[in-house]
Amino acid sequence: MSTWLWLIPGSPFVGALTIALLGGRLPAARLPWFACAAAGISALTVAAAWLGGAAQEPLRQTLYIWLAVDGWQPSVGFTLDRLALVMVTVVSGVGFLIHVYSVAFMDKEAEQRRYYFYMNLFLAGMLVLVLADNLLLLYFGWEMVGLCSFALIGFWYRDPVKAAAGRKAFTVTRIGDTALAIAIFLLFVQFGTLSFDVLFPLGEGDWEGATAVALLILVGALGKSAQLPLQVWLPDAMAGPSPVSALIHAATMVTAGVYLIARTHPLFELAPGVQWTVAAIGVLTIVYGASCALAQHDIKRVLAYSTVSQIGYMFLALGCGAYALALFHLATHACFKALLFLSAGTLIHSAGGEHHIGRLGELNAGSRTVQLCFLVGAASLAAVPFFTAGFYSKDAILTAAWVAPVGGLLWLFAALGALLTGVYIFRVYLTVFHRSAEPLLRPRGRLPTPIAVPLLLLAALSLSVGFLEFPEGSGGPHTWSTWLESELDLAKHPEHHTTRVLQALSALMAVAGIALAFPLVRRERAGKSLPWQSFLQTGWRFDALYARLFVQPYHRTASALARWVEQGLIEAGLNGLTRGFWVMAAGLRRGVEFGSVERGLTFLVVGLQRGHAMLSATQNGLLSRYAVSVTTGTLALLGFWLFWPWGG
Amino acid sequence: MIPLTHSLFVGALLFTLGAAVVLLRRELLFLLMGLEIMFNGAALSAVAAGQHWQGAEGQVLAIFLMAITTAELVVALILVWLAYQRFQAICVDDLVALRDGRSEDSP
Amino acid sequence: MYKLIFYLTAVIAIGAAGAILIVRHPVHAALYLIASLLALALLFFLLGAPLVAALQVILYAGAIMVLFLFVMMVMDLRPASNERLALPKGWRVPTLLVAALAVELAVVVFQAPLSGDEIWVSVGPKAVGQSLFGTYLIAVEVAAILLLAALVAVLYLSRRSRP
Repeated sequence: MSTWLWLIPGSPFVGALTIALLGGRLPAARLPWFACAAAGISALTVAAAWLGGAAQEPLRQTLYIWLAVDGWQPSVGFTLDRLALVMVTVVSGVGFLIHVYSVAFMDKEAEQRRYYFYMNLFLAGMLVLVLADNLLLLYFGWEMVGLCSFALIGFWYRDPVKAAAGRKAFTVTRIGDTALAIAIFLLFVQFGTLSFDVLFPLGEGDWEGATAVALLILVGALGKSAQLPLQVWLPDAMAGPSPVSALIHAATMVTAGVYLIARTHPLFELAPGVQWTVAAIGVLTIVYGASCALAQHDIKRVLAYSTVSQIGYMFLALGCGAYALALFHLATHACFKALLFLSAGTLIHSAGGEHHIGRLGELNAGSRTVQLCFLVGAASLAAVPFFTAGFYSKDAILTAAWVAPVGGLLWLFAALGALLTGVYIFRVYLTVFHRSAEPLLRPRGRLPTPIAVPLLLLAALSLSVGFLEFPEGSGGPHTWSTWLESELDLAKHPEHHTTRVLQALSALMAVAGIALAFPLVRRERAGKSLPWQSFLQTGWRFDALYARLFVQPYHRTASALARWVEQGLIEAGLNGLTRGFWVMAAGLRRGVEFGSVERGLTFLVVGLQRGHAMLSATQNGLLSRYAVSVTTGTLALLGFWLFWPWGG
Repeated sequence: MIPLTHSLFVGALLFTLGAAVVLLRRELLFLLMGLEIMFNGAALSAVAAGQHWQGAEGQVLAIFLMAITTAELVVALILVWLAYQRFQAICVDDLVALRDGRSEDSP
Repeated sequence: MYKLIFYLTAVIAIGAAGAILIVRHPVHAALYLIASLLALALLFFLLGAPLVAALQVILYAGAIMVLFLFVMMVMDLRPASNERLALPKGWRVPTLLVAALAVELAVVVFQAPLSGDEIWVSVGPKAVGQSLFGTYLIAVEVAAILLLAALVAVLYLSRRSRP
């Protein structure tokens, strides 16, 4: 089985290459199915890995050594341990379903070739990211999915708003990527290796750099997973097609940060302060996302803020040391959020591109199946007790949060988030599907099979995955966390009675949230809006804040530099000096007929003129001058390296 | 036997002389020849070091260097020819399309 | 004897390279270039790398030389006059830079902590080939693709009808 491991990321990669290079030769109608087949082979390989024993023993394969320098051998190697197996299953499974969904959804689009190329490439990048056995390869996958995310958000790039959303996502995540890169450099400087197998036993020693590295990795994860304060890109990322939002911006790529922290968790355990920060950021983001989702009118933006908030739960679990529970919530969230996005996409599609929930409700375009699927997804998101997967995963995280330092406060925030979750998602559900007025658009007879099958499958999963892990103290099986125990430590739970009370409270929160949604929707229909409506709708005005804090000062600095330093100082200064000296020289020549003074001044003037010419000659288009500059730079670098710490 | 240092020094000298040709001559063809000399200085260092440690890697590196210089040179030569055909340019100073428009007084 | 040949060849290689700096006629420069590269081939051979030495002769004397001469032929280059070669405008800074570069490289070379005892070993084509098509196979493929790309670029640039 190990020898076939490359097929998991390899098959979508080959698919992407084939689509890019030979896509023009394939009949246009076959192209989507070809992309699906590439994703399907990957999913089948994962299934074969389950059967082939990956669930017991990690599978390994090293494809190629990039370069071998004195014991450092960064490889293109894959390790399929249990943690990776969970991720690979989610990514390839949901990825395959969304590819199938795309066949019908993107049916009428032009440029399907570009779409499927990036979808397959994304899948390959994501699978490389989770299978990588060293940080360098992980970073490669990390950047690859970032690129595909950028390209797919801006898929309709002719609309400047959508293109700008792509650029924004790319720029904001870049902050996190840079931090991650620095963390990788630091780890390499310290340990001389980037392989997980070697790195993490080493990392369990005492190392004071752990805090800095853990913090940098955290920033990387924050950027990719859209957590506070780098969350601003995700709501705008909804400019992409709905399947893209479902795959990249709900189920897989945004959870890469969670995977990264779970993978490097020994480092975080060395730095308890940073680990607590993870939890704190998690709970803040939960409340932030849920409160913003409450005020949105665009159905996809509600779901986007909901994703931000749900990933907050995963960060909370990571911060409390409940890594297996974070992964559990990741898996259930991938199912129900993909389901919500896909049913919302179907709805938007059949309503002719309408995103506003109020008008969607008036059009009433959804068929019964879509309504049912959305209801299942919404119930799972709101964590309706006992039936839904979301209940089992979220509930476990909440009890685990109680035992963390300052756990009461963390729990309180998270429970508030759970309450708000019920409110906002059922606000959408009620507004969109329960409209008393006569429907304007008759629901069409049947959904196309490629849309219906993924929806129903995901709905079934959203209901059933939760039974893998019953709540603490309930007597049901704990298949999930005991299976992951060999790699990720078990989460700590409070004592029996406290657990019971907390579980009852959080179940109550979910139901209360749903109950609160009814009066809220009635209020909104009556035309009243929420208090702080615009504050919440603009995402706590983060965009404006960042524009004021970073973007405007940057523009201002640049234009000030151009105006004052370049024009005002250098050019005007030199011009003025030259002219001044000319005038002075002329005056002196006339006034003082003294040869040496005159000559001296003329010399100065010529010198200044030449200086002016030399400065502006740096941009003269002459190749030789550029070569001189390059040589000077080389010399300076070499000299610095040779002579700097004197005698070093 | 020749110490490695001496071979490396010869390589470094060749590299410097190539750099001097690139920096001091103005004819495009001379520039390319200077580049060749620089590449060959590097190749000499690679081969000498490879022999010092008695491995094949130095020679492998030299062979890759040859492949890359060849690729570079053919494209550069065709560009030199095109520059001559279109702009009657023999010297690099004739090709100044990238110059800063405002600095008319520079050479 | 061996040492004498080595240092003599090194002097030829360096001298011929230096001559490129001062000759006027491009064809002369090309001849000096080839002299320098052939001397380098001999150095490779003396260092115990016969394959690279042979490739150097074939590639540079055979191919690159011809390319240079061809371009000179189609461009019909000859020096404008028989005057002495004038130093280009602004020659002082580059000269200074080059001198500093030479000094720095010498420092690098002579500071390097290298063991003294030298054993003359010839690494033959077989070992190089095994290394090339074993360990570095993918790099060879990449280099092949690079050459292909260069070929395509040249074909594109030299096509007859231009828009």
